[in-house]
Amino acid sequence: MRAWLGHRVEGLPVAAIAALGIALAVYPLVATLPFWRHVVIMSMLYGAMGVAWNILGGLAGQVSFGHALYFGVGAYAAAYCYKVLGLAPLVSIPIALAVSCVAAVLVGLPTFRLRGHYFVLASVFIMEGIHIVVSNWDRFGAAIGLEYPVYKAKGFADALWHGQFQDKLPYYYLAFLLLGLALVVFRAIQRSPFGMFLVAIREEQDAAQSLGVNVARCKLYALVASAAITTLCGTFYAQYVLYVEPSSTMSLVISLEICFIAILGGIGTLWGPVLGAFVIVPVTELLRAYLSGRIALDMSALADGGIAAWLEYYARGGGGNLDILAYGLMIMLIARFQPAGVLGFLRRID
Amino acid sequence: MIYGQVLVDGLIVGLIFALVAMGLSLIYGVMNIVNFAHGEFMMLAMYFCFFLWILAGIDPLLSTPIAAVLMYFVGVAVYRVLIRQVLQATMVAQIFATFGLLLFMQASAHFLWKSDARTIPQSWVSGQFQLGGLFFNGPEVVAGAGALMTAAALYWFIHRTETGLALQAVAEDAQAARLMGIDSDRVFGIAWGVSCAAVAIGGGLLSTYYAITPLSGARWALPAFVAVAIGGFGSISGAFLGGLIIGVVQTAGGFFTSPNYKHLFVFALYLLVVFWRPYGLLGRR
Amino acid sequence: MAEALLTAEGLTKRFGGVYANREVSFEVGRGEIVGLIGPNGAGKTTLFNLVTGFVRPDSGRVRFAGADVTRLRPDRLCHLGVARTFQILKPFPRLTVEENVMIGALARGGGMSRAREAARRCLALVGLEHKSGVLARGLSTGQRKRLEMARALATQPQLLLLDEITGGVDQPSIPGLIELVGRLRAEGVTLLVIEHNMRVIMGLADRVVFLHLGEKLAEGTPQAIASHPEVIALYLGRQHERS
Repeated sequence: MRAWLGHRVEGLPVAAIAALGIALAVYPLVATLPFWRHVVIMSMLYGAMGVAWNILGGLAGQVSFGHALYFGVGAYAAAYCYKVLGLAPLVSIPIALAVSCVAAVLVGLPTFRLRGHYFVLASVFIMEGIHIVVSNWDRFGAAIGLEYPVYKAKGFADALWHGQFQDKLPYYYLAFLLLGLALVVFRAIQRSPFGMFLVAIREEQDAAQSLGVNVARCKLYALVASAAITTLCGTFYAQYVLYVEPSSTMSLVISLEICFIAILGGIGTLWGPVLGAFVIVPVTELLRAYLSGRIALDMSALADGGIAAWLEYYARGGGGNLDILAYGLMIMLIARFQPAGVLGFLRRID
Repeated sequence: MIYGQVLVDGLIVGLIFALVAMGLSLIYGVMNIVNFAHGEFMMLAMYFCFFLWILAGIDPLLSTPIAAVLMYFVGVAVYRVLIRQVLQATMVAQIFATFGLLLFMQASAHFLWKSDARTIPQSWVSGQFQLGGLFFNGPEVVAGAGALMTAAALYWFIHRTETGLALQAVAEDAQAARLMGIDSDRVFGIAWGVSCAAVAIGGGLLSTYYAITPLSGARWALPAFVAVAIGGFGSISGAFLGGLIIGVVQTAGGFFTSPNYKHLFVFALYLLVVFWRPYGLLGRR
Repeated sequence: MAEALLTAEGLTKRFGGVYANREVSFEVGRGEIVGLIGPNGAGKTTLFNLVTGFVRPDSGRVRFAGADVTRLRPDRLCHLGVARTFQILKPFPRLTVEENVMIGALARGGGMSRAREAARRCLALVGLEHKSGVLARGLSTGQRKRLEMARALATQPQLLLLDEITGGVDQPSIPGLIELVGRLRAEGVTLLVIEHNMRVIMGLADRVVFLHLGEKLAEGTPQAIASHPEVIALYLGRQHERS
């Protein structure tokens, strides 16, 4: 037993993993304020997406800046199925997965032939293109999006069926499960021949192919696996906030957030994205919470107020977007000072 | 006639895209970095012209050259502070550096000036005229002409001046250029300065008719990436041609469907081009 | 000559207006070692790429073990029993030596533990077993060549194409590499070898094909090639002048 606890999974002893897992499971029972639960829910959600992104970006080395597409597919599928078709999440999840699988194949087949910046831009443009279509398609609520009808559940089972809870606690444990699922899938792939092939493709594509690796098929499977988990996260997100709109699900910023989280923690590592998410998400959520509701002054009134009024205006958050400002600054600084990511320090370097 | 109008409108818009794309391609050609924040320098120049106009009554046509000079130094500074350190890093780190800069500049503009759209309703070039059955907007024509002149100057600078030839040498082979005694660090800085100055001129000219918001630059830069890819990353003349093409495609696409969809055609064009020729229409390698 | 394992018929490839290979035909018999020589730019590596599926020929065909394999992808060819090394070495730099070789073994199916065993066997064969835990980027050029051979061997090839056995390798390592190639033949592998060092080729090859400007100019035993007037004029003479 003791030997097993000391066994390391990518540098982290099993005992430490168990301790962290238990701490995470017990946390919401201690932190009862909705906001503090929310912060960790979002961290786990983004952690799961970072881990999923890492299957394609970290193992196979295919840097996708369009992953919000699959997040959006999950969110929109769930919202559309529930609101328009009246289908419960348990039914809409397979639909969402099927759509995202088809989307992944349609995106992957042509784009995986591209290398370097051409691939990155292709992933951006496909996602932006779908964004434009969705924000002009009335069936999906166009730019306004889809809002869930609020459902008053009769008991827990009923609430689970409708995927709507009054309390944050069930959402918390669902996100917990999502993160666990993503980690298990990543680890399973990483330790399988398939995972070895992906890493070989990342390291030297031609050599991998000469050794019998079917490069196109491996990349495609990696994308499908990665997209599927991201779609599950999208479905969860829709059920959690009960509202989907194009720019908060299918935008470049979300795409960037997903892969930044994976890269910040350490690209290609198991724990990197989790670490990244638990650093980035709380910071942005705190900034957002601090700033929301503080922008009370109207800019036009400032002209008469003199410098003091201007200072007050900016101290209260100015025109907003301070969270994104901090985010951009953070990304820049990390790219400049520690391009390999935080876990880059811990990775094996000969 | 209506097709002629669409074509002419598209070409005029295309000239601005061409100018934006040439600056992007310059940086890519010289140091293999895609500058995602390119449009943000344009946005800064637009705000600069707007504030000079509203606070001091200076016409955008006058403030555009000042914006270009200022943006030259901003570009050099960004290179020195941020880009120099990621030159040897991975592609992902480089993308994060410039994308982080994009978010930072966009959000800063948002923070400082809010997201309200600002316009310069009256400038020297305001007005419309008709020529040969086609309608022209004064500001758009002047902006197109200015972009064309700047593009020509840029071309001249790269192909006819000593500094421009040094740029080309570094783009061709940085190692060999170093042996020839070219200070590549200085050349990289100049490339950033010139690229930012060029896009600032585009921004200044646009400010005479285009609504100014923190997102204005991104609206122009994203399609400009397509122009760069069409022309082959790093090719200056290719980027110019690519700019004209996407100008026409975007205008025609928006005209025949809905302006909401105009970018869609540009993105689709990118995919078509790179699937057909994975290194761009005019690109080599 | 034994039954032909590999047959190239009239392979032609143009890049732009230039012929990299023009109407090249040759055969490699089962169990043979065939050398491929020629000056720089003769089209040797392009010929390798044509045979292994990395480049598609404009015309001509490739037959392997009786089947037409002309337009097959490299990974399909690998599964049929064709493996290669690269002139510009392509190890997986951030994988260990053992993991590098496992990739080759895994392509043959079987799980991770079987692949690990196969990798150990191949590494022992090329004499790299003491490096199995090291990252591939930490190896010397000679060691990398051995690694590429081990990796290719792990795919259990019938035919192995070696692009330069001794190029870029320090003098003392050369005899070991030659001996290794001999050992591979003893294992039953057929070899097609690009090599610049004539002494090496004379000692190893059963037959030699001489390429010049993309065309096959001569073919025969090493002795016949070494005394072939055109080969001497175009290639060997110059090699002598240089050395």
